[in-house]
Amino acid sequence: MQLDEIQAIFFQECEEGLATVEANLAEARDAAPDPETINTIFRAVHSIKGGAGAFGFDALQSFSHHLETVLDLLRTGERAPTPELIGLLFAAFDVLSDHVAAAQSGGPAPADAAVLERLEAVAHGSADAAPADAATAEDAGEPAEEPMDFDLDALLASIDLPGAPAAPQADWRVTFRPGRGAFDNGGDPLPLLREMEAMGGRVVALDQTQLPLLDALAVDECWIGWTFMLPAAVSRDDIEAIFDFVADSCTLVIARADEAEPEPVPEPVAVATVPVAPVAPPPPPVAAAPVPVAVPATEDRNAAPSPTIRVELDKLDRLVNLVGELVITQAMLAQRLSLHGVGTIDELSDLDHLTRELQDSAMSIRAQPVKSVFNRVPRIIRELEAGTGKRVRLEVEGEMTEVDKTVVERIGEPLTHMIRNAVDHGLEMPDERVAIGKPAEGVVRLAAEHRSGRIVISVADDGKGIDLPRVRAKAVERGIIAPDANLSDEEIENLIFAPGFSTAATVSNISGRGVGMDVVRRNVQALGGRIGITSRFGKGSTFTLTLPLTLAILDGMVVSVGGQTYVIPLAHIVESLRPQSGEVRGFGPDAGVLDVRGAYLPILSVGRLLGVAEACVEPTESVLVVVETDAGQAILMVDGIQDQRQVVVKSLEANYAPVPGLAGATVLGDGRVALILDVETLVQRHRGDSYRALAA
Amino acid sequence: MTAIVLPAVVDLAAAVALAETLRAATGAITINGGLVERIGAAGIQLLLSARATAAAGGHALTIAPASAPLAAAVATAGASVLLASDR
Repeated sequence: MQLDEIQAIFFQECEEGLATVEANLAEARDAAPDPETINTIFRAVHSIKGGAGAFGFDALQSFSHHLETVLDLLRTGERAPTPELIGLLFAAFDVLSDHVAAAQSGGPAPADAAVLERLEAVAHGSADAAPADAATAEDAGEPAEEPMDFDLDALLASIDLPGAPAAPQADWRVTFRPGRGAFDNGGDPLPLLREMEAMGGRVVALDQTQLPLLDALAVDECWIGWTFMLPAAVSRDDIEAIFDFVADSCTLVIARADEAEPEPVPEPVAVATVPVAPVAPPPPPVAAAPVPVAVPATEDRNAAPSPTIRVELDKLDRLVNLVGELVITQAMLAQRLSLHGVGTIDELSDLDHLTRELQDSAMSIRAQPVKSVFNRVPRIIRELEAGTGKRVRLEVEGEMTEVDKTVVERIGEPLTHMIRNAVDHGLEMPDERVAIGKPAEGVVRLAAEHRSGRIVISVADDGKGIDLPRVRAKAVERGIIAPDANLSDEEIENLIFAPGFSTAATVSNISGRGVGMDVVRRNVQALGGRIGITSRFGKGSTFTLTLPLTLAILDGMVVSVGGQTYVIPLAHIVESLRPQSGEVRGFGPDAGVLDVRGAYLPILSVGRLLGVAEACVEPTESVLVVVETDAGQAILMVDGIQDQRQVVVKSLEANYAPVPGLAGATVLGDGRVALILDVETLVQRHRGDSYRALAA
Repeated sequence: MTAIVLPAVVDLAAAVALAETLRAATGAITINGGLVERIGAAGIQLLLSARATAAAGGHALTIAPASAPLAAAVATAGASVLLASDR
């Protein structure tokens, strides 16, 4: 494994650590923190510090050290978790996140002087949060002046301390580069590596920077080197003894892991600097699985999470893809067998169940709680509070709701925009709120839940709601609707998603960053999702984001149009029907509408929209599928319905090129390719055409 | 596409012979490591170089199956990338 791979793991760990810190800080803010909450925060920051030191991110290491010092005082009970102190920790957390981001991107370190000064003040006892004659690190054993309501001994016992009371020693880092002649006379460095393993050591880096390509490789010369971590408890002599016979012909550096740290600072409490690798003996190697050779230790031995393994996403995607192929092949097999009259054998139905189960399991591996996205929201809210002067209380529900990783990754942006919108446009200023009898603090409620095979994320605020007359006036002014257009309240609300619409009188730097709600809607639709809004003037608004749980599988209705087969995503379908003659009213030269329980819905011929020559043009001889879209209901006219089934989505973008009106493709049981209709775009395109036709 | 079977003992002598085979290989390379009982650093180094060479030419080098001794040696040497699939 290369250094950059190990570094990537470090940043993943940082991300997880930061999420842990934020979640636990939120807990500490909402209720008197228990010892484990503070401990968990401490451990996460400590891990980040250790890794930062190992990788030479000095600024990150230095900042986390200062933060850790304050956390340690909190942990030992020398400082009380006052709201001021928790507020400072939140500010420090934000800076810490920026430090991590800067280290990752290689950008400049964030401005941390102000927060550092406040942390220093707390550490040296001059802050309000601290007792007047604040104890120094040496007094750590003394009872705190403000007694905490928890058992300090139990707390200290729970911390993973090395046995010796003296300052702990860090693990060994052994860098070993054999000489070119290492293979001479049957020599082999590998047994030396095994000896280090036997001592509890673990390879953290394989240096093959000097290794030539095959053509230039002298096979009998050694071109590679290694870095191992060994437990602190091993003596230097024992390590040196391994290399006795090669010491003269190799480059060997044995050093404590913390010796490379630029500013060794005394640890307030005896906790070992985080080693880059766990000191436990390496797990038995698994042939096909990547072995993460370096994982910054979390020191979290109190919590007992179920064992996990880090797997490259590519491998997971390959698995999901293969399972998808398997599902298709199974369907093809079933179809082939049924053609030969053996469609109903038990084994086939077992295979069907097994492949479905396998598919569900494979998809569930990719599922992640939306928590990782929700965890970013508190910071956004804090920034918005600072930027607008509004006061916001965030309520979160359903953060453990799971959804496919790709979906999790892609909801961040629309969610951020919805939150910004709720605070910036939704909530009133504290004095305005008080004046109308609302609490000064506004509430933004973020919730996620599974609803009929989709995930629904809502952002609700108790602010002023949507001023319908103003929205309407604005839409008329912008030429989005005609002055005499007859729109329902819901339609007016949905105008805020229209391109070019913005209700903010001035473009603020919060919501108005050049991204309108129309772009948000487009991005959500690209994910196969929908976004909607409901609002009560004076009471607040709720944005609702509905997304598929996965982008890889889709429930669809298989329909035929001319000689072609298409798939209509089931999520859009309301009902399908075959009209009687006379029920369809003509509307223009080649358009029609159908009265569906009192509502006249436009009939869109899929054949005409996609240019399928032999498509049926007579509605009464076709099947009409009523679909729900963001632009309202519409009817897709197809020749017939073949089947309803789950299909594995294949990307057109990745395999061919994006085609407007098509969301992707799938392979059917008989091996034919069927295109998946992008219902939203088709309906919108039809409406655009109609409007243009009317305007012409 | 080239298929290669590793011998039971991949020492320096075997590595020298194997290098010739690998240099002559074209396209994607599949290596059967199921028979390996012992492999030294010279063998691992050769496989790493072959993998980098194949990758430079846009090809994959896949080792499958891998015997337990091969997997263990590769893990000890921090060269697990050899047993990871490319795509």
